[in-house]
Amino acid sequence: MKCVIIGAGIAGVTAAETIKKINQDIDVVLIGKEQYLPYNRYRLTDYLCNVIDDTQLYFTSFDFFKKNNIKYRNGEYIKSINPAEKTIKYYHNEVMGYDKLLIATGGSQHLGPILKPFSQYIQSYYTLQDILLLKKFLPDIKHCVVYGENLSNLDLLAGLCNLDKKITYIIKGEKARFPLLKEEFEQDVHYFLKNKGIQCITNDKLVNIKKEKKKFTVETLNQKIIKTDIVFAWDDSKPNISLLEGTAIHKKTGILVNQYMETSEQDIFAAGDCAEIYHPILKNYWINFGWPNAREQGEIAGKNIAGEKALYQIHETLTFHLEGKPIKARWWE
Amino acid sequence: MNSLNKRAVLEGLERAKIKNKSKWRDILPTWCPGCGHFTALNGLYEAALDLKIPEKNFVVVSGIGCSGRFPFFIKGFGFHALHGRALPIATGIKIANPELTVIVVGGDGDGVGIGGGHFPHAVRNNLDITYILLDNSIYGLTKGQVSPTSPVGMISGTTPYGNIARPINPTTLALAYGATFVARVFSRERQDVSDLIKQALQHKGFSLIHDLSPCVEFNRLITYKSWNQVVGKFPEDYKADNRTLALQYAESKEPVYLGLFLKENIPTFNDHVKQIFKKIDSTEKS
Amino acid sequence: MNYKELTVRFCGIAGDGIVSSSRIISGACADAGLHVMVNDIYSAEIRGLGKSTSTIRFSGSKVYSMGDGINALVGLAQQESIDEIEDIREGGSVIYDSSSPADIPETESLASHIPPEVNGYGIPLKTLANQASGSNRGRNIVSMGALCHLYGLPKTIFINQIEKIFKRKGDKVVESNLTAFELGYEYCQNQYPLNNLFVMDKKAKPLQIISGNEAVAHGAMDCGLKFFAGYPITPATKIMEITAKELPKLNGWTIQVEDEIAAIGAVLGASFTGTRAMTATAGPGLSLMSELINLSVMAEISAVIVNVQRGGPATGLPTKVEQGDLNISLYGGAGDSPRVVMAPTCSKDCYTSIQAAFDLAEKYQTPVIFLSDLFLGQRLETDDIKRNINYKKSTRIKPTRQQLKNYQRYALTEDGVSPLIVPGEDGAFYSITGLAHNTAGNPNFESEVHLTMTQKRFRKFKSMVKDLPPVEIIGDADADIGIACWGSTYGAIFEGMQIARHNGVKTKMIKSIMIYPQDEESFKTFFASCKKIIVFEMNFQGQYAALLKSTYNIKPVEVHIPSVDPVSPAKIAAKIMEVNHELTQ
Repeated sequence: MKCVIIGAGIAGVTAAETIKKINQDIDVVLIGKEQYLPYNRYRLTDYLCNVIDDTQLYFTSFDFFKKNNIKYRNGEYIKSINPAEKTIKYYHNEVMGYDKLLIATGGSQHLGPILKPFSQYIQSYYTLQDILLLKKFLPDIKHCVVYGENLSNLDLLAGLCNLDKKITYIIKGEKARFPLLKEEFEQDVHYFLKNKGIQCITNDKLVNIKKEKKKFTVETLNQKIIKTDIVFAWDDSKPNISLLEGTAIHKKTGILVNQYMETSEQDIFAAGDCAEIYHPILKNYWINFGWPNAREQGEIAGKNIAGEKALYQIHETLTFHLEGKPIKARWWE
Repeated sequence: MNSLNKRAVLEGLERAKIKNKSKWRDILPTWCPGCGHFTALNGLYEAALDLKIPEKNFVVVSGIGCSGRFPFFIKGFGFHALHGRALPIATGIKIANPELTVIVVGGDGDGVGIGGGHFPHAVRNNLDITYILLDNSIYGLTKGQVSPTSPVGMISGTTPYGNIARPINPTTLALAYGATFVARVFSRERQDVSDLIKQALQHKGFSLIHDLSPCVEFNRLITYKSWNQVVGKFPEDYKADNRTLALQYAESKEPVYLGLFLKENIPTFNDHVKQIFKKIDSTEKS
Repeated sequence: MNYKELTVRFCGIAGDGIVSSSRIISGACADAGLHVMVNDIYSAEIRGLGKSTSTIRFSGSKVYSMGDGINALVGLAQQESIDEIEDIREGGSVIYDSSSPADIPETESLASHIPPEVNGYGIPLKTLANQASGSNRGRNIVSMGALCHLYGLPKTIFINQIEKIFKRKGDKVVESNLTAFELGYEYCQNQYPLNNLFVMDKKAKPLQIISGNEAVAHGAMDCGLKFFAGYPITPATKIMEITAKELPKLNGWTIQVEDEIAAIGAVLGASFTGTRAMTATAGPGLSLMSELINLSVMAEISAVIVNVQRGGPATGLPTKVEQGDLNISLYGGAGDSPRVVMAPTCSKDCYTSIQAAFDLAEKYQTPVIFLSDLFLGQRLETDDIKRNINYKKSTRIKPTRQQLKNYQRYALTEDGVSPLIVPGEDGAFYSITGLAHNTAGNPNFESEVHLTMTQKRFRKFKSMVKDLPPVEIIGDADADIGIACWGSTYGAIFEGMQIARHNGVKTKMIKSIMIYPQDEESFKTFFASCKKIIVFEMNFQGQYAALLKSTYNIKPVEVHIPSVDPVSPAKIAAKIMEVNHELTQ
C-alpha cells in the first residue's frame, strides 16, 4: 500500500512516523513545500531573535527518514488531486498514484485588503526561508513596527525587545490582547509590554506604508506617522486548501473531516491546521489550531490510515509559554 | 643469390628481350625465366626512359608476391611494403610530394585479394599514380594456390577439389570504381605493354594497367597459350570514352579485349588540393 | 554556503545543448581566471536521441581531476538525468524543468528521485525559454541563469561569454540567449532568494582552455606536421577534424582513408618522402595498424601514432576510458619490434610531448605510439601552454657527401641511426623493405646480417635515453610510499596524494611521460628510496606494473582501477591510507 502525505509539518511527519510504526510495509511518501527538513514553525520567531539555534528548530533529520524508510520529497508542492483516479499532480506535472492520501498542508498567514498593496514592504514571515533572509539584515535594524494580534506577535515583541530594538506596536483594540484564555493574564500583557519599553499605539490601524531609500514611513488611520526600519504585520490565518480546487472534497474554511480524520472522499484524510473537525457536542465543524493539536491529529490520521481505528477527542491543548506562564490556544474561528 | 639463380635470371632477362638495361638496377630479378612480369618491367624501363623521369623522382611501391620485388630492379626509390598495402602507401607518398612519379606494382592476390579493400579508394581519390596489376591468377611466391582471379574449378594446393569461388575481373572493378584510365594488356604483346604503360604514366589521374602476366611455373590453366586463344582487339572505332560501353567490353569472355578501355580527364586529387590551397591563400590575404 | 570550487553537470539528450552549455560555463570561468576541467560523456547506445552529460569542475586553484561527486546537476532530460543523482554531494542541487507540458509518471520524474539532502529546484525552463526566444531551445541558457544565481557567480562573466559564443549567429540570437539567461536568473532569484556564494579572485588573469585532442593536434602542427591520415573512431576523431581544417592553411593535408591500415600506410608513405606525418586512432584501429607499425620498425620509417585509448578488448567500450592498450603498444608486433611508447598526463603534456614524440620519431627513424585516452583526449582543461611554433629540435640526419658516394640506407653507426635521404633528393636512391635486409636495404636472410640489423635497431633505443623528456619526482622526497602511474590517471592520483597528505600520509610519485624507453637510472633510484611502491593504472591486468616489475625487479602494490569515468581521488587516497596502515603495522 502506498500512502502519500501532502505537507511536512508536524501533522504530516507524525502521521508518517505513526504509519511506519504500525506497518513497515506501507510505502510512505511525505511531500513538503519547503526545501528544508521539517521544523518547528512556532519557534521561527525564537530562531529569528537568536533565542534558539537552527539545530533546535528541526524535529527530524535525514537519518530519521532513512531509518524509517519514509520518502521525503522536499521543495515540491501539489497543485491538484484527482480522487477518482487516486492520483495527485505535482506543480511540475508529475503524476503520482496513492492508495491513501493525507492532506496536512497547514495554514498560513495572510494580509487583508488594506495591507495587501504594501505586501512587498511588509515582513509577514511564515517560512524558514523568510526567516533566513530576515536574519541577514536584522542586526542592522534599529526601529521596528509590529502590527497584528496573533500569539506569535507576542513572541516577536519579546524577541525583538531582548535584541534591544526600538519597537512600536500598533493594535486595533484599546489594549494589547492576544487569543489568550485567562482574563487576568490577558490584562497583564499590555502592561507587561509597556513596562518592557514597547511603544503601544492603541485603537488604530495601519493604512499606508511608503519606502524611502532603506527606511519606511508608516501611516495609521489616526494619521500617526512613524519612521521605521522594518514593518512586521499579519492580518489573519487561513488553512491552505487551494489544491482541493476542482475536487468534491467537502470544505468550509478548512477541509471537513470526521473524528477519524476522514474527509468526504474515500481514502483521503486531513489533519492539522488545514482540517476542520466535526465537534460531536456542538454538532458543527471547528478548527483546532496549533502544534500539539496538529501532532495529535497526525497520529490519529496515521493510525486510521494504517488500519487501526482511532478517534480524535476534541479538547483544548497547551500551546505556548510566555515568561513561564502557560497560555491555552482556543478555538480558531 | 647463387650463380644458378643468376644464370636463370639472366636467361629470363634475355628471353624477355630486355635490351635497354640502363634503367636496370644492378640487382637480379628473382622471377622464373619466361615470367610475364619481365615484360612489364621492360615496359616500365622504356616508359621511364622515354618520359625522362629523373631517378630521384621515380618511386615504385609494391606489396608482397612475385611482383613485390619490382622496386629492387629499377633505378629509383623503392618501397617494398606489406602484402596488399602498396596503394595506401602510394597515396601518402603522392599527397606528401606531388612532384614524385609514383608507380604501384602488385599482383592479383595483393591487389584484389588481401588489398582489395584499398583498391576502390585509391581509384576514388584519383591520385595521379599508375597501378600495374600483374595478374597471373595464382599465388606464385607461396608455390601455387588459387588467387581471386583464378577460374572456377581450378585445382591447386588449397583447392584440391577444385576452386569454388568465381574469379574477379580487375579491369571491370577499376571501371566500376570510376578509374580515369583503364587498360588491359597481355605480357606477350611487348610493344603494347610498353606503349600503354607510357600512356598510363602520362595520364593525369589514377591509371590501371591490368597485365595478363602468366605464371610459367605454377599455373597450368592460365597460360600464354590459353590467353592467346581468347584475347582480341577492340573494333577500330572504339573510342575509350564511354564507361558503360567499356564495362561491357571488360566483361566479355570471348574475346578478352586488350587495349585502352577508358580514358577520362578530370582534376586529380592533387589538383583539388592545390585549388584549396589557393582559395585559403586568397581568403587569408583578403 | 561559500564555495571556492564547484562541479556542475548538465545532462540531456541530443538537441538539449549539453555541450554548448558546458562550453559557455567553462569559457566564462576560464576568462575569469578560474581553473576548469570539463568531461563529456556520451552513451554508446543511440537510444532515441542518445544521452549525454557534460561535467564542469572549476576552482580558483589548479584542477587536476574531475574530483569526487558533483555540486549541481542540471537535468535537461528528466529520465536520463535520474542516474546522475547518485553523484551529487550532500547539500548539492538539482535543477529540473517544472514546465513540462505532458504528465510525467513518478518513475520517470527527476524530482521524484531527488533525496531530501539534495535540493531540488524546479524551474520552468521550457516556459522561460519560449518567453525568450519563442522556441524550446535555450532551456540550457535559462538553467545557466538559475545556476549563476544559486551559486552567486558573477553574472557578467556569463553575459560576456554568451555574447562571445553566439556573436557569429547574429545579434538576434545573442539577444534571445541573454534574455533566456536573465529570465532564469530572475526566476531563481525570486523563488529561491537564499543563494550560495562562490568566492573568487577578481583579479585573476584569463586562462586558455584546451582538450587533450586539441593539444595533440596543435602541438603536432606547431612542430611541422604536414600530413595526417586517419579513419574516424571514437574518441580520436577530433584530432583528425582539427588537422583537416588547419593543415591546408599550413600547406599540409589530411586525408580520411578507408581503414586504419590505410591510415598508417599513408602515414608511412608520406614519412618516406621526408614529411612529418601522423595518425590518430583508438584500440581497434591500433590493432589493425600493428603490421604496418612493424614495417615502420623494420624499415625504420618515422611515424607518430596517437592512440586515444578507450575500453577494450575488441570494440569494447567506445565511450569509456581505460588504460588497456599499453601491452599492444609495447609488444603488439611480430618479432623483436621495439617502438617508442609515450603517455601524456594532461593537456599541457599532450602539447609538449607530441612535439617530443616527433623529435624522437624523426631523429631515431622509429614509430612512436602516443598513448592518450578518452578522458584526456576529450576533457577540456585550463592549462598554461606556451606555444612553440616551428618547433623542430631534431630532424633526420642527412648523409655527408662522402656517405652519399656509396650510399647505404641502413649504414651501421654508433647510435644506430643511419643518415637518410628521401625521394626527390639527389645523390642516391634505395629501396626499403619489410624483409630482413642488409645495410644497403636489399633483402638478405643471412642470420648474421639479421642479428647485426636487429642490434642496430635496438641500439637506437639506448642512444635515445639522453633525449628523453626527464622524469619528475612529485610529492614529499622523504616519503616512504612511492607511487608510479601513467597517462591521464595522474591527475586524480595527484589529488589523491594531496588528500592523503591532509590526513597525515606523505607520498611521492615518479612522473614519466616515457613508457619505453625509460630513464632507468632515475627509476631505480626512486624505487630504492621507497619502502612501499604503489602502481595505479586503469586496467585489469596491471600492464604498467608488469613492465616495471620485469624491468626494475620491484614488488609493488598494484591497484587496477576499473574502467570508470573518471577516477575518484578519494578512492586513491583511501588506497594510499590502506597501504600506509599496512606499512606502519
